[in-house]
Parts: sequence; C-alpha cells; structure tokens
Amino acid sequence: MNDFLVLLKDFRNLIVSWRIGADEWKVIRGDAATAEDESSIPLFVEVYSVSESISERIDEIPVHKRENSWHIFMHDGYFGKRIFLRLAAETTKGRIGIAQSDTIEIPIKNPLESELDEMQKRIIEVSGIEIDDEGSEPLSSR
Amino acid sequence: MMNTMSGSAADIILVLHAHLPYVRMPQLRFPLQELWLFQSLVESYIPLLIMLEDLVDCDFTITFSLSPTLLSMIADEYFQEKCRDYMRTVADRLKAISAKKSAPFAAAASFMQSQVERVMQYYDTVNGDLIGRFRKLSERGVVNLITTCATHALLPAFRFNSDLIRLQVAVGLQEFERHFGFTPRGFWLPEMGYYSGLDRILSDLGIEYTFIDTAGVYRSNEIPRRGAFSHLVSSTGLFFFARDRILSRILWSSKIGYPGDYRYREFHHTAMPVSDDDTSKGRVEIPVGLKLYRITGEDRAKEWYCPDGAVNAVVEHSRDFIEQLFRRGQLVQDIIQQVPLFTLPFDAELFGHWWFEGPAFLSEVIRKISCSDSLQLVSPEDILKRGSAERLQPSESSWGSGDLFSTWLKSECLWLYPRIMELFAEVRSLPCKKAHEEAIVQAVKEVLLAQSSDWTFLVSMRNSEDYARDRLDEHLSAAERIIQSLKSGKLEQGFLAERMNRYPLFNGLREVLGRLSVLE
Repeated sequence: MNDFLVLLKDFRNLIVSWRIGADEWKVIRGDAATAEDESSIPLFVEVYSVSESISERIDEIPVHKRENSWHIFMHDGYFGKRIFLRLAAETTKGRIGIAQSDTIEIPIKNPLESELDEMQKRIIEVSGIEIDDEGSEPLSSR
Repeated sequence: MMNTMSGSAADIILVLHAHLPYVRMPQLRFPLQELWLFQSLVESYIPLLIMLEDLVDCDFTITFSLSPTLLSMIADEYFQEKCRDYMRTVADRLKAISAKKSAPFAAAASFMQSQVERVMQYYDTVNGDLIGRFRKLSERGVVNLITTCATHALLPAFRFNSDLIRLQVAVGLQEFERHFGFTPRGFWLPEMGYYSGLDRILSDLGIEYTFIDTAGVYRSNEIPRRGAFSHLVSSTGLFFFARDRILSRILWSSKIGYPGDYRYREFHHTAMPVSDDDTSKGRVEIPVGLKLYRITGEDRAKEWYCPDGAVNAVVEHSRDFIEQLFRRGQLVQDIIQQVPLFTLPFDAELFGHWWFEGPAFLSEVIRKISCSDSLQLVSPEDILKRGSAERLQPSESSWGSGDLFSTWLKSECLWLYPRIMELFAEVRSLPCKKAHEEAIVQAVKEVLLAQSSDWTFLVSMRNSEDYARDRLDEHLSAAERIIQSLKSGKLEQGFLAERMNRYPLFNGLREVLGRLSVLE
C-alpha cells in the first residue's frame, strides 16, 4: 500500500510526502530502467491541471527514494488552477503510476491580474488583500 | 463626528472565537500551561461576560465561538477549584503590593486588585457556571453561539482524509449540544483554514454558515461583485462571511492598531519574571504573572500602569473606531451601491488577556453603535433572513501569515500530518469488538488531541515549543501503544485507565464514532 500526501503550504510551495508499499517497491525495483541502487531508481512527481474533464501535465519533478518528502516550487502556471499530483516510476516497461492525489485548487496570486470590470477593480483596491499582515494571531502582536 | 453619521453606513458582524488547548496537570499547583486558562478566564472570558450582561439597554448581537476543549475545561470542577485558588492568590499578592502606599506601583496594583476581586465575586455568584451565563445571553439574543472543531485542527492539513475532517466537525457539534442543549447553525474554522471541498462536508453535517479570510474571496477564480462586503454562498448551500482585513487589523495589530498604544497595559513584561526553561517545561510553580507596567513606548524603560491614562485611550480609540467604521462604510457603499457588511473576527483572548483594556473598548464601541442610526451590530442569522447571496467557491486560505498554511506547515512539523493519518487508519482497521470499544475510543481521542493547531503553532513560533513537542509525542505514543496492545490481544487496562483519567473530555465520542461508522 502506498501513502501519498500533498499539502499546499504557501504561494511558493506544495509539500509532497510519500511512502511506497513494500510489495510495490519490490516490483518497481525489478522493473527499474536505469537504477544502480535503490536511491537512484528514477521517480517523478507529475503535476496536472484539470479543466472540465481534461487534464494537462504542467510540471514534472525528478525525485528519489522509497520514502521521502519534497517541496515542489510552484511557477506561474499553477495559480488559479485545479491540479492533482501523480507519483510515477520510470521502468523498462515505461512510466508507471504509483499514487495519485485528489485535486487541490491553487489560489490566484494577484487578483488584479484577473479579468475584472471597473467595480471589481475598485473593490479589490479597497479590500486590503495586498496587505501581508503577518497573520492574525495575537501572539504575534506587540 | 457623530452628527455627520446619518443614513445606513454599515452592518457589522463581530465574532469572538474563544479557544485554548486541553491542558490538565494535577501534579502542579499553577503550571504555566494551566495559567493560559486561568489568565484567560480572569482577564477575558469573565470580563467579557460581565461587559455583555451590563449592556442591558443596548440592541446588538455578537457571535461567540467556544471551542470544545475550552468548554470541557470551564465546565470541569477540577479547573473551577484551581481557578478559584488562582484568583485568591493573585488578589492576595496584589493586595500585599498595593499596601505599600509609597511604592510607585501601588496605584497600578490597587486597580488590578479591584479588577480581580470583581471577577472573583462574579465567579462566586454564578458558582463557576460560565456556560450557563453564555446560554442566558444566547437566550436574550445578545450572543449568537457557534461551535468549532473538536480540538482545533487546521482542517486543510487533513484534507485528504474526509473521515478525520467529519470527526473533528461532528465532535464539535456534539460537544456544543451537550453543553448548550441546542444545535448551532454556525461553525468557526480553526485559523480560518478553508480548502476546496470543505463546504460539502460542512453542509452534509448540517452547518449553515462559516467564516473565511479576505483571501478566500479575492483569490478565488470568480470574484463576487460585492466582494467580501456581503454574505456569499457556495454550490452546497453553505454561507460564508469573509473577514474585513482593513478594519480588523486596527483592533489587533500592535504596529498600526490600538492595542499598541503606550498607555495600555504591557502584556509581555511581568513584574516577576522567571526563567524560560522552567516555564516552557511547566516544571515549577511560577509566580502568577502580575502585569503592572504600561507599554510606555519604544526604547524607554517600562513605566508603571496608570489606569486613568488607559481609560482616556479607550475613549479616544472607541470614538476613532466608530469614525473608521462610518468612513469605510461610505467608501464601500459608493462602490457596491448597497449597505456593506463588515465581518470582524478575532480571538476572544485578544480582548482582556492580550489587550487588557479590550473589554472596556468593546463596551464603548457597542454602546456607540447602539446609539447610532447608521451602524448595526448584527448576527449572521439576521443577514441570512435578508435573502439572496452571491455565489462563491472560496479559494484555499487561512488568516495566518501569507494567506495560506505555512505557519502550521513548517519543516519541523511536517512529519506529523502523515503520522496522524496513518494512526487513524490503523485504528479504523482494528476489529471493533465490544470489549475493545473503550480502548479504540481512547486511541481516537489521542489522535484528535494531537491534531490541535496550537501545537504546531507553538513549535513554529518557538513559544512553549518543548511543551508542544512533548504533547505531540505524548498523544501519538499513547495512540500507538493502545493500538499495539489491541493488535497483540494484550490490552493494558492500567495504561488505558490512566489515559482516560488524564483526559476526561469528549464523553460522547463513542456515539459520534458509531454515527460516522468509524466503529464497525
């Protein structure tokens, strides 16, 4: 059984953690395309955006190890998109999927870059959204 | 300025969210972590109750969220007895200090003594039954009570385990019903943490509305025409009220807000400091944290608190805030062509505990709004009665730094989330024989207690970090031990009894687990 966890951390990073089940790892090791040792078995985190029922790969990050966690840097192509992530391995039989996340909706980074009418622009201007107020925890005050 | 305020300027929803993590350390008289509760009772919860009960001639409603862990503690005679001891101790110490008439701090101590004695008297009069007082205020329509998650879990961190999310919400609902006798319509999201899809779970569990951060509106794919200045509804029928960032920061920010005024009581400096090492471990019976300084100003030695100066600041700031509400109301009304709604949510502890004069400030503001023709303090229910709401699928957001979740997802905390989900899956995989039910319920309770956002926040802020790490380790280890004992068929009755005794909360957890089919 594989564990695959994806969390949205901030406007730069997604956090991905995985642990591949012992049986699945055995199969992947046997079929690995280029691996000299376990840590060099080629794994990938693939990022897909979803619109209606069509998905499109927008990123791919080479990773390694049976159990690991990784920060995925988000470029501009992520923002405002519904995405899911897939952990895959490169094997002699081609690339095979190991685990897939549910979808995450990445917020818009700069609302003023959206298609807006005049009223919406004015609302955003008075909203205070541009203020990074360092959180609202009173522990951070004074 | 008041005479210029004619015509409707704004409706205001004020939300106070009261929460503390569950802490019980019977081996010590005043451990630091229990002082979190006693100080919040003495400085915030009771003064807020007194203030709200005093405003009999005012027409207003404020929304109050009380977390299940906090409710469990304030209803418990163990904490009530210790709180009385704490109040007596503080009052006695202040009395002794204020008796030194020639001392420069005597006036500050005398004032603080009178405050504590007033709180003590109230607590005695109501026989410690603060929940009953909140219920009465709710019956009068002064307070609109809502609930929150069982242990204040940051829900987006557990988004891919919908059973854990449902459990946090369902226990929150059940604990509320057990204490107040009715079902709440609203729900507070811990840290205002929202992720896409959460609306479905909340709606399925009967929640009608919740609160989100400003970012949840303006970082969504379709920005509503009235922005965050009106109520909004998702495709599941869940209503949202979004925080107004501009107005709320005036009340909580130390940099640009009122609480940083030099005349107010200083929070961070106590009259008798103790070593960080001792306090973070809760090892010693520390002094009770007498705070007798005022903020004073940057780069200056702290001066003693002067009650008259603080009263003047409250009057000035409450007047200014009313003007700010009115001006912002007009500004937004010019844009959206209707009376705007401002949702102002805060941690309840800001008022009194962090900002000592906060309850007095609120009292002034409520009185002024009550006398105003142009401002109204309303409840979410009042707004829902008015009908149509714009559609919104909010974006993922929180009220933490950077609008998202980095505060609780620092590198040093990341191991926690998969571990919790793994333990929960292990508990669920256990065959639920009747004889093992108690142990399974306790294992689930340990998992819930580890989910509190307080622990990762404290680790992240390096504040009581050791204690937070110890609590995480304690709950996860206990859950593991119970699970292992069930798997091996050698249930450790002594250990189980000790854990149940140490954390006597969530009495209805077994029923909720049954209802959600977690125990099968």
